[in-house]
Amino acid sequence: MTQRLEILRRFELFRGRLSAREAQEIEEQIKISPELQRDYEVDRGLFRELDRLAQTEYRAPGNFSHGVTHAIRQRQELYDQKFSLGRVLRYSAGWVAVAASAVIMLAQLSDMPPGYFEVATSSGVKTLYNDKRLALYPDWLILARDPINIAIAVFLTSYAGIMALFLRRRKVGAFLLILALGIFLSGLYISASPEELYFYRDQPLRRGSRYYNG
Amino acid sequence: MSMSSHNCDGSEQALVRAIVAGEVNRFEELVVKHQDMIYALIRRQVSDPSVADDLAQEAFVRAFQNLERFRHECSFGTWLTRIALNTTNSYFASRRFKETAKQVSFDQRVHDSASECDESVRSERSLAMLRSLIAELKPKYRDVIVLCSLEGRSYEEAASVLEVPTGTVCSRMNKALSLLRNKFRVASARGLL
Repeated sequence: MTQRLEILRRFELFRGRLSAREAQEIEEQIKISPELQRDYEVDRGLFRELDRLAQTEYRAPGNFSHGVTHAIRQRQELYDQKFSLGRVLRYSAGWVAVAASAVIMLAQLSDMPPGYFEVATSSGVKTLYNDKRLALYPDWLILARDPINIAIAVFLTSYAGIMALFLRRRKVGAFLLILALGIFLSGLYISASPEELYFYRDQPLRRGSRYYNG
Repeated sequence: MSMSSHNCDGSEQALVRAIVAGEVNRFEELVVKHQDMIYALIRRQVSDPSVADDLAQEAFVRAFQNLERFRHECSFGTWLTRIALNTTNSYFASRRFKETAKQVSFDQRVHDSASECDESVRSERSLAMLRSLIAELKPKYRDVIVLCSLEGRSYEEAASVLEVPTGTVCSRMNKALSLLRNKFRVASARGLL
């Protein structure tokens, strides 16, 4: 008999589910081993206390149901006050973040150089800023620094944040909104300039890159 | 209280549907029917009767607010038990409980030093200590201890309340007892039980 199984059986014993003979067998095995004897004492104490707690009878106070209906009525009145300041602030802050990130995204789109979306077909775009040092940057980094991608990340994160708030996941919602703010602020510093993007679009050897223009 | 009796309780389902349809005053009938079961479930986990009262009330209020989401896939009692467990778990995770636990621990040390307690006080304190050991468990382990060891429900019933397979209840029970045993051993060695 493994120790785990035996402990479970002892648990059954204390809940009155074992026969007297089975209980006797267990008692005899426990007597043989001092280690089991010690565990047995702990288990016996634990199960005795658990059973004592289980057998203690508790009843709801006499006026409990009235208290519940009163609480429900009070809560209902509070819920009906739809323009409570906290709710308005919580939800409007989230929507402001979503709207702001959408505006930023649109602004970034309008600020892109002509031909930005003609990656696969355009052929006449010239390199405006031919600094060879930029070639040291890997594709993923320039992708991460693309203002459009940063704006999309801000938009999606803040949208997820406001959805989390709607689902009453306050901590998750707050975290996502702060994260969106963080991405936005860091995006102000790390985003690539249009010249840099042009440069990458004109790298003929970077096949498979979004900025490949060959 | 068996699950089958819950499932067959058509009158209760009709009552729930009537409340959802607008007869909100009839919710009190549900409260009266289940209040002792829910109060006892919570009181066995919480030492302070007034806190247990608050939590039981909160469980019923939450049930009322979400009654439209009740899909009648299980009995109302099972659904309510789940809400009561979640309410208690939220309380144990709250700052309110942690501050209370610190205060109780301090008071107990002061009281122990006086060493003037009779048998009933010691017995109640021993139960309070057991509750605090159970409260230290993770919610998933605490729930099975409460349902199976304290409420005397079968593993199948516990599985239905927790919406997990019966095998999961068995393994959680095993782990929960192991954790509880270790905590109990330490508490016994310190003379807290």
